[in-house]
Amino acid sequence: MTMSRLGRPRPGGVLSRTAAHARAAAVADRIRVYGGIALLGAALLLFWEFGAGLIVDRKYVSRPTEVGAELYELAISGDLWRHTSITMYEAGLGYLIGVAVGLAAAIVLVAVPLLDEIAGPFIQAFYSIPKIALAPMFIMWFGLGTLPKVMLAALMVFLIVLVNTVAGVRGISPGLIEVSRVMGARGPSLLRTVVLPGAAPAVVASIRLTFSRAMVGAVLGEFIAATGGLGFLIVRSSRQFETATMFAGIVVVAALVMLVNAVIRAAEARLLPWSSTEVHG
Amino acid sequence: MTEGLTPGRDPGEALRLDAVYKAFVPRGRKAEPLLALEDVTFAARPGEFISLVGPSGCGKSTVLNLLAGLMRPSAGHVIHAGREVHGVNTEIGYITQDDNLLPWRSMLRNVEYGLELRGVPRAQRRDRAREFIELVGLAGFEDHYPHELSGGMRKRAGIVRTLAYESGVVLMDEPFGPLDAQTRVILQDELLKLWDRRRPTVLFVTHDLVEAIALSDHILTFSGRPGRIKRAYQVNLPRPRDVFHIHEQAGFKELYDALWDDIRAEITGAGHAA
Ligand SMILES: Nc1ncnc2c1ncn2[C@@H]1O[C@H](COP(=O)(O)OP(=O)(O)O)[C@@H](O)[C@H]1O
Ligand SMILES: [Mg+2]
Repeated sequence: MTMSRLGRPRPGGVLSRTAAHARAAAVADRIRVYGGIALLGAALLLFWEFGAGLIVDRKYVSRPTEVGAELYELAISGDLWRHTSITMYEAGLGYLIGVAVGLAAAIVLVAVPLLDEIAGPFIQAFYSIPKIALAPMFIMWFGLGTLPKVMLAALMVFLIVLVNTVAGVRGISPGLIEVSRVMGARGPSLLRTVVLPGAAPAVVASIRLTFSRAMVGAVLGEFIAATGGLGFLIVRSSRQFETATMFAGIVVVAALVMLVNAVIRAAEARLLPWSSTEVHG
Repeated sequence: MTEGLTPGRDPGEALRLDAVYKAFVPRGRKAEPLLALEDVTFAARPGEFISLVGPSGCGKSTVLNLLAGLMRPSAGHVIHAGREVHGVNTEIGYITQDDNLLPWRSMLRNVEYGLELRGVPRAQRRDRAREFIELVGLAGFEDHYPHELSGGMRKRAGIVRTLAYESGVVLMDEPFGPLDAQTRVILQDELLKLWDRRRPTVLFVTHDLVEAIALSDHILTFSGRPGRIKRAYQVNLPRPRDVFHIHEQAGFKELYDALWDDIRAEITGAGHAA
């Protein structure tokens, strides 16, 4: 063995070169990912524009340019805003109600474990009903207006928030709670410093992901019976083979869900910098 | 330390377990009740550093949980500062094997936590926390979350978090268990220096006989299933201790050999199934 060296680079040089390499590699990585996304997106749009008509009748699939033109028309006429605001009202209100009721119910179940065990089978039974199956009943009960859609949206959200909040609290390490109690946390201070932050990632993740469920509830309700809203727009235009209008409605629904998710995700990253959690639903 | 002598409440004692039994009924239909502690009696005077050693499952953590008030004895008395422990005991410090830092708090705010719960005003508790953080060389990491710290750093943070509110009794459950050998010894040294500032009474659970000797005034060996106190040893090494060279101290080897014979009999199951 020998430890004699042939040459000796400066340590500062090693560091700055390694950092430069790492930066360059990160940039190259970004370029590959975003470039790939752009390419795939462009390929899909081009296929839709020029290729899809070769496989199925153009009448059924429309074209991106026609969908864009239709969106513009809808926006100019004010229809886009009218339908969007109806759906957003239904989904948004239902979402808020679902989250609030879900959280309140979860707090009760966490506070009274016996109640949790008693309610358990009923929650599971309710959980296993596809909520779509309830839509006609809601229309029957609450009429053609926005109320049945709000209720449907709330119902889609409520159970998921409930189940995930309870699981979030149960998931807090018992050791953490015990040590905090020995340090002097109890009642409200235990709730504020341990239980709420401990359950927060699961709760916030469920709150974020359920907005799309609220949209499903609202749009489904509109499919069945409505006089306005994006779901109504989609159904009406599909029945009349106004394919471009139908796709315009679908695009707006998708864009709204993604937009709201991005906003909630940004808020989440600020509120909970320490964690990220999977959601069950 | 006085052992098994005067039942009663000597105000000069920091803590006492008196004829303590603890039984558990494990979950499950066929489970038999299990006696975790049998007739455990010992008392500690203020400022004593006492280690508990013994095979795993012999009830060492249970002793600490009883003093922390997280469990009640099935029989006997658990006394802290002259009074029977009832409910969670917030007058003691408890450092568990898992560091149990709050993952959503920065290191600084974790160290402040006990002071915050005691209503110490913000500026004051921040100063105190920073002082302790400085003492264990964590300055510069105040804003890091626990998952951004190394194992040794988390241990340090957990220890100063508990020592910062200066309770008279501190319980430590294998606090250095998962650390590498070098970090362990360094932390033992730091712990002794911190302890020397106010000399709280310490009950320290460990598997490591060298660690027990290096830190303690007394060592209690436990036998397993049911957990009983086997023997009490006095450690007559002078303080301050040099933990890095403790094995070179006169008297170390004799004590180590005696402890090892004692413990080995338990681990290899002389008379007990492990
Ligand atoms: N909460 C509990 N419920 C049931 N059994 C327990 C509980 N805590 C400890 N035990 C049992 O008591 C015995 C002693 O446990 P413990 O005090 O953790 O031992 P040690 O810390 O010495 O390893 C073990 O057999 C353990 O399984
Ligand atoms: Mg233990």
